[in-house]
Amino acid sequence: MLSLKNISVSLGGQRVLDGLDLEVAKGEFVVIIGANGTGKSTLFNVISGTLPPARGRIAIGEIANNFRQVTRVFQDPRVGTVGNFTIFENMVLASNRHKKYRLIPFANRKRREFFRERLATLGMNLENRLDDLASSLSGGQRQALSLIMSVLGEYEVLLLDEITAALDPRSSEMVMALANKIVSAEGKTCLMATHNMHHALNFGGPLLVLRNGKFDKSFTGSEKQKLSPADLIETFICQ
Amino acid sequence: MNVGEWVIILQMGLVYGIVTIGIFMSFRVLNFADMTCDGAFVLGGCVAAGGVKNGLPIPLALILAFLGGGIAGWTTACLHNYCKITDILAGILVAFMLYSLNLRIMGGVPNVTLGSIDGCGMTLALAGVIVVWAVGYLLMSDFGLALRGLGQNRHLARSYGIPAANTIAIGLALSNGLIALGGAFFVLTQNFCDIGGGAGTLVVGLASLIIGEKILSFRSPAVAVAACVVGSVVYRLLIGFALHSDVLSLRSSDLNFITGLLIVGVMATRGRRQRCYL
Repeated sequence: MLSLKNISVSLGGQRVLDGLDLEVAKGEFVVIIGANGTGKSTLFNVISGTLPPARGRIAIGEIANNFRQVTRVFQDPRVGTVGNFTIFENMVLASNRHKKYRLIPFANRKRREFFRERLATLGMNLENRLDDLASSLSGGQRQALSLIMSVLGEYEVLLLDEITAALDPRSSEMVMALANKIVSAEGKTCLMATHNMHHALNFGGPLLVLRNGKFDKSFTGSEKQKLSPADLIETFICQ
Repeated sequence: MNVGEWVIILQMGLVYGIVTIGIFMSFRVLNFADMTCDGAFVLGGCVAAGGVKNGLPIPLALILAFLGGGIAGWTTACLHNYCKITDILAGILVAFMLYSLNLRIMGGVPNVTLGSIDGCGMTLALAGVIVVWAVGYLLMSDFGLALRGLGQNRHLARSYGIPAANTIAIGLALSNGLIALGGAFFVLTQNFCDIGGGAGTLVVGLASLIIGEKILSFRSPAVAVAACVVGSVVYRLLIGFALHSDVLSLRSSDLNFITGLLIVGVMATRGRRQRCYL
C-alpha cells in the first residue's frame, strides 16, 4: 500500500532522512518512535507530499506520489481544526478534501445528519453542538474532532503525528483509544508517531525505531508484546 | 442637512460599500493585507471614464472596470505566490505601478471631466444589491468555505487539498474587481475622474468595515457582507454630522485625522484578535 524507497532529505544542510526504506501493507497499523530530531515529522511531511525529498521514490496504492490519498492528524489540535469555524463548518471543509470546490451552499440537512452520526460515535455530546465554534472545545474534544475530520474524505493512508503530545493524561488516553477505534473500524493503512511508550506498545502492529535518518530497529506485532516500556526507553538511551 | 446632502451621503455610502466588500474579501476572508486597493479604485474610475468618453454603454464600462480591477488583484496574487513577495509589499508595488497605467488610460492628463450621466443612481442601487447577494452567496458556498478556511488556517487548508495559490488569486481578483467597480461608480456619480482620487480608499474602507462589524456583529458571512454596506453608509453619516456640527467646527480637511482616530479607537478597545491583520 505505502512504499518508500531510498528516501533522502536534507534540511538546512543537515541530512534528516538518509536512504530510508519503508513498506507498509494495506490495513497495517505501524507505530514509529524516535527521539526528537530523528526525522519523524520530516518523514510524515514527505509521505503527505508537503516536503519533496531530494532523492527516493514514494508510492501510495501502487501509484507514485499519490498524495491525495494521504490524510493527517496534527500534533496541535489548533492546527488540525479551524478555531473560528463551527464544528459543522470544520467538518464540511474536511469532507471536501481534495474535491473540486463547487458553488453550492455548504449547509444542508443531509450533511448535518451525516456529521451528527459521525460525531455521535465519539460519545462526547458533540453531535448536539454542531454550531459551536471549534475554539470553544477543550483540547481533547478538539483533537477528537480533528481525528473524525481527517477520515471524512476519501483516503488510503492515515498519518497520526504525536496526536496526544499536547493533551493532558486523561484526554491523551481518550484520544488514543478513539484513534485506535477509528483505525480498526476503517481498516485503512495507518502510521503513528509517538513519544508515549505505553501507546507505542499497546496500540497498533509493527513498531519501528527511527534513528539517524533511517529505521534502526523494528519489532513485529508479536515481538512487541514481549517488550516493556523500560526496554523501549533503553533503545533510546543506547544510541 | 438638506435633501441633496442626504442623497449624496447615501450615494457615497453605497459606492464605498462596494469598495468595503472588496476590502472585506481580502482582509477578513483571505486574511491577506492587500494594499492594491488605492490603485485599483482609480483604475476602475479611469476605465469607466475612458469607456464612457468613447461612447460605451454604462453597464459595459462598469464590467470593464470590474475586469480591470480583477487583473490588478490577480497580479498582486501572482507576485505573492510566485515571486514570494510579502502580501503588503506585493499590493503596494501593484498600486504604485498602476499610477502610470492609470495616467495612460486617461490619455496622459491627470483628470477628466465627464458630462452629466442619467440613471446612475438606479444603476448603483441595483449593482449594490447584486454585489451583496452574489458575494454573500459565494461565501456561503463550498468554495466560499474553502476561501475562508484558507484565510484562517493555511496548514489545514493545504492538508485538506485547497489549492492555496489559485484560491488566493481568485479571492484577490474578486476583491479588487469590486474595489474597481466602486471606483467606476465614484467617477460616474461625480462626473469627474482624478489620478489622485484613490488616496485613502483603503483607510475609509477599513473604517466602514469596522463600523459595520460593530453594528451587525453576527458570525454569518452573508450578514458580514451586508454589514460592509451598512458600515459605509453610517461612516458617511458620521462624517456628515461631524462636518455640520458648529460645536466641533471641523473642516473637511480634518477628515483623515478623524477617520484615523476612529479606527485606532475601535481597534484599541476591541481586545485581542488572533492572526488577523485587522
